[in-house]
Amino acid sequence: MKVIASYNIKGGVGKTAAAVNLSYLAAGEGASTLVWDLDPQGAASFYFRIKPKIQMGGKGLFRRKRALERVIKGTDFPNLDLIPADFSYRNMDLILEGLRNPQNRIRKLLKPMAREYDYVFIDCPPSISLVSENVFKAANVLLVPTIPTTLSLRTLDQLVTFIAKRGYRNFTLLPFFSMVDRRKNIHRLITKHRPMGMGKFLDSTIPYASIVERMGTERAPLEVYARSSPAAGAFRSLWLELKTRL
Amino acid sequence: MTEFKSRKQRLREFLLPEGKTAASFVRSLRKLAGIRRASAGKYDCVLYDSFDGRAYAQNVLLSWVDREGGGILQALSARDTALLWEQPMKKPPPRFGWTIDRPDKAAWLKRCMGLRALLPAIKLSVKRQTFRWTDDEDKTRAWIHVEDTEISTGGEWAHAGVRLVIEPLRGYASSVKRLEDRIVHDTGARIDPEGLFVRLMERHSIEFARRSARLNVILEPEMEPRAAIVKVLTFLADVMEVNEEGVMAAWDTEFLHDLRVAIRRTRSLLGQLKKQFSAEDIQPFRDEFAWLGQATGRMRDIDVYLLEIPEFQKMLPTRFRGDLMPVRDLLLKQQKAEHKKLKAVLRSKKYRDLMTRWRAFLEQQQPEPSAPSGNGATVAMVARKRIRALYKRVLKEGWAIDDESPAEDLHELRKSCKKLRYLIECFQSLFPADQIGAVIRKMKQLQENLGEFQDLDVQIDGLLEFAEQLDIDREDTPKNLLAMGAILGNLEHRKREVRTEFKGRFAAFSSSENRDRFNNLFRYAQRQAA
Repeated sequence: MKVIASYNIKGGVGKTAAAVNLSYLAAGEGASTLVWDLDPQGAASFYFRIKPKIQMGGKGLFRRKRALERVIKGTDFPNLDLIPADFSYRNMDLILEGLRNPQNRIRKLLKPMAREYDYVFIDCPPSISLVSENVFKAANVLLVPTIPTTLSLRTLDQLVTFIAKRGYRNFTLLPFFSMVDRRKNIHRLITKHRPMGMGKFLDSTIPYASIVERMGTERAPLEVYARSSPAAGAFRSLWLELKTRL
Repeated sequence: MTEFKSRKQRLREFLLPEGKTAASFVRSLRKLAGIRRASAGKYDCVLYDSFDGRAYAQNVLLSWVDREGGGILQALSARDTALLWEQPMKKPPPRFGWTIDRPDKAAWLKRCMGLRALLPAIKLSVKRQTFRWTDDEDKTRAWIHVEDTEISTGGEWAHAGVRLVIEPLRGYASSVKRLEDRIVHDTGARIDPEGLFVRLMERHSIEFARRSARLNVILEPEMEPRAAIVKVLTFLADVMEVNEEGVMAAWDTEFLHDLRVAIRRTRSLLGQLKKQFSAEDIQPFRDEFAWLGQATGRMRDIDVYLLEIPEFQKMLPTRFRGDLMPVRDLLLKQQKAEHKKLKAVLRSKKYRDLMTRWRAFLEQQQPEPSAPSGNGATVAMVARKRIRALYKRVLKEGWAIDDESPAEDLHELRKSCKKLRYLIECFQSLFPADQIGAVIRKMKQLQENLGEFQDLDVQIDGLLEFAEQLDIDREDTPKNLLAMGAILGNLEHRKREVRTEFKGRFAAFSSSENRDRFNNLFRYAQRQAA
């Protein structure tokens, strides 16, 4: 089982779009795939039309036996399941702090999932917190959607420094450019001259496109309603490239 | 066997109320709240299995559905119709499941099917209407399929039934249960615990049983010996003929293997029980089955070499594994040529005549039910006598082998063991199943050792033979030869290990405990005969 966390300290960079579209592509190939919507805003759950609520709440997840298995919901698509978001996730840091070995709780929860799933995509909340440290411990790949702007690169740099300082070695850091607007000079410039020392950027880039934003009204992955769009093609390329790095 | 990344989604199947057509049922279904039409169409569905029904024997149904938007291969549990796994597959599944490009599912299919090919067992044509049962977010909680199914029987299509399948999505089981109750209450549909596919496969499994090469002929102890032997020989002739088509089509290597085992068993029985027939009558058959064994031998050798190539490759460091490819290519070329010859053998007048005369001979040997047997002997007596004699021979030959004995002695012992095993298997129904099972298991352990020793010899000879056939002028030939040399070294090493292991294996076989097992069998047979 490979755990792929879609993560960025910043919000609004395309984390959820990446998790939803890539997981859909993985499942479409026959891989048993799970998405964990860890963001209390519940955007991934919303895209899959699944209510952002789990009966046992965030606390229950860490207290009950085989908790994850009980809250998994099937999406409308074969091979693709989801652990919905819950509003209580906003307090997950507090919940984790009260537990023993708080940095490893998510990894421990996911471990038995290896019996069922080939891929787990985690849609992470923005910020660096105890939750994200848990994700760092659990992930095989940290997929970082990055908008090609100076501020975004600065945030990525902060992340790289943090990872180096903490000495995480269990995952591969894979940033990629997201929401790329070719009309903007800065976007063209940064994607052409990729910054050094911030992990090896994937070659695939995801364009800024209103068709991606339509995921909110369609409530489905891009492949379902706009298969022939360039953005859907970009996610397919990203998935192909990502697979070679797993 | 189903250790698989499976979400084990259970599908519930229902029978429509008596007299209701698919169309009228759909009308009542659509009156229920939250039901939305998803799709409708006609598609082909093929239930796959091996020639001898291995998947079904393990309670697995493999169905490939060719529907719009891409085909899908599904593995379903025949016990509880749980969906074990599914794999998008545009074209019909490949002949060998282990070649699909999903390693976990390929390994699963390999475990399930062994070396056998996936062959279409049942062809269905399905008119399917699919509905979604949704919640207030328009999220699907369950898929509902109404399927009107026809089955292909010898080129004709016959109505197989209408089924309603409810496929709950994970996490919605309790609400879907409410839907099921409503459907039963409002439409009169009934839960079908077995399911249409299982019923169709169950009917088809008679065919699987007919094709099985497992020697399981039921004999009665008091049967006249010749009648009993003829019964076994007739079964073996059936096995030969049932496998002919698969050998001709080269669906998989097991057809030829089963055909050859039936030939060997026939020859062995004719040799061991020759006194039951007139020598004049059976000698021509013994000669001709020996010819048939020989005529099919080369192809089997090549099949075995090809099956061993992956094992040979594992003996090499990863970067040298490709160096064996020319050997594989050479074997594939030879396999093609040998298969042509083999087809010619099976189409030949000589073979056809042999089988016709053999069948006629077996028919003639059936005694009149009321006719008393010549000397009053029963099959139990004959079986006891022959098995005992062969068993003694095996012990004598085995005890005579020491560390200095030549390899030929081991080969002779292997042949005697084979004969003994064939006899035991032919007459197994005359003995208590648990006792005969224990004896066969012990025999197998010894035979595995002797068989491996012989196989290693054959492999070493084969590699030397292929080495001579490689084109010496090719640039890569030295690399290929080096790879083969490394494998030869491994095989020689293993041969020495197997030779050393023989002592222990034979000691276990000839132990007083195992001798008691055999003696108990003989005593049992004696009581039966009395």
